[in-house]
Amino acid sequence: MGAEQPPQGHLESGEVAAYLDGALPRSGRSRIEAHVAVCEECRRELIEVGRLLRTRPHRHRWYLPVGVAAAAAAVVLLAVWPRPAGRPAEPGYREPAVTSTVAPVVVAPRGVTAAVPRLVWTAVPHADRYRLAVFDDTGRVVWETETGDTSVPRPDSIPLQQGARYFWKVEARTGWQRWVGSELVGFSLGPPRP
Amino acid sequence: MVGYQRQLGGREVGWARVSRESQAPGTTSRLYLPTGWRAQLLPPELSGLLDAVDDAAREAAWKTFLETHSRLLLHTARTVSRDYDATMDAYAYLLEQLRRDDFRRLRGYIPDGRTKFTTWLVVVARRLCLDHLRRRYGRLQDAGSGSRAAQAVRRELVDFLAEELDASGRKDPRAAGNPETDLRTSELSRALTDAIGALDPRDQLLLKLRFEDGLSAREIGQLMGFPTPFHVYRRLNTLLERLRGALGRRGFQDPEP
Repeated sequence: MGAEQPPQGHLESGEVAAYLDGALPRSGRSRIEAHVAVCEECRRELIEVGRLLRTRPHRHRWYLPVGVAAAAAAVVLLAVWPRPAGRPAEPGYREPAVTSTVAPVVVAPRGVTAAVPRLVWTAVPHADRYRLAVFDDTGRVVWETETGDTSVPRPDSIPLQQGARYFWKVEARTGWQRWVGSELVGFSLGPPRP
Repeated sequence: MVGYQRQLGGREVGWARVSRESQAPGTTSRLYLPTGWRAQLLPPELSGLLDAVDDAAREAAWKTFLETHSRLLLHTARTVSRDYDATMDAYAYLLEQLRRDDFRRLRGYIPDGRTKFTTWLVVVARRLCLDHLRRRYGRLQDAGSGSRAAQAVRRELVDFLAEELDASGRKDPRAAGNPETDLRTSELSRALTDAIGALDPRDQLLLKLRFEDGLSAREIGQLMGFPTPFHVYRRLNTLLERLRGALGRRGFQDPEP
């Protein structure tokens, strides 16, 4: 991969859009992939526009039956109805909801490793529980477990084959039925060190 | 842009530009569509704008177009701008350019049934915002451009494969600065470049997205159309095996003595 020159200039807007929408025939996709494999500018554009589209704001339309809408309106009215003077405000017992948090990051194992005695990851603020799953190369779950810690020993009953490729991820529970997951990370067992 | 070669009803009411790759030299292709094709193929907020018959209708249609797409355009401007003021500047520039010359840029959208209008609009909007940014702040210096990026890719792939081959002894601190080690690394890097060059362009792209651009498997899968991240990892695994084999045939498979 040297500093190759992209053939025939850069991609047109329609080509970038068609590639991202997955609407090109195989020959069209191949042509564009061959171009962006050597053209950093067009590749960067594909990546950035793809990200833009995935994070774009959406307009939400809410459709409710009339009865539900009326009930919702009644609840809102009761909630904002002015209270009699002199009544003290209710103390707050709940913490504010966690609306954004960092995801856990897989620490080990990653890549080629001589042994897998433990699986380790970073802590997530406000998380009280972690669940992890280990998959083989076909996507089959070979082990899954939950813990309150940020590492867990691999039991001997879960054998890993040398040279085989595995993947694993961990999810952190930050609230009621609210989980945030790490990336899927691959690892494999290399030969034992002498 | 790809044009059409079909003929509907034999009546010529419009034509589309055809990319040079898809037509024989010296020929032209025209798109034959019945009257009112815009209203049938374009999004309504766009067809209303492009087919407006007077200024009042045009302004009303532009207002409708903005009501539909201003959030997306602002989102695009925000992602390429440095701060709030730059975002609003870029957004204003973007709207001005879209309106320019009787919406010439918007008329460039070809409703060929392949591409969503919003996807195309984001591409055009981003390019306009980057143009505006370059005019104001100069061309952005990308740290990963050109040969430095290529070197970074080779270095990371070399490190990744050498970790498995144990070919360079770089984990041994005594090997640092050793001319023999440096020479072996250089040879390994050259061999790797040759091996990558022999791969299919789609596979080369996969390696670049992973090792040069640092995309996650999920993002690569979404961009290149893999069904799941597993398929990305599996393909990467296959490619790395192939590269190891190619390097092995060039003598890079025994650990350093």
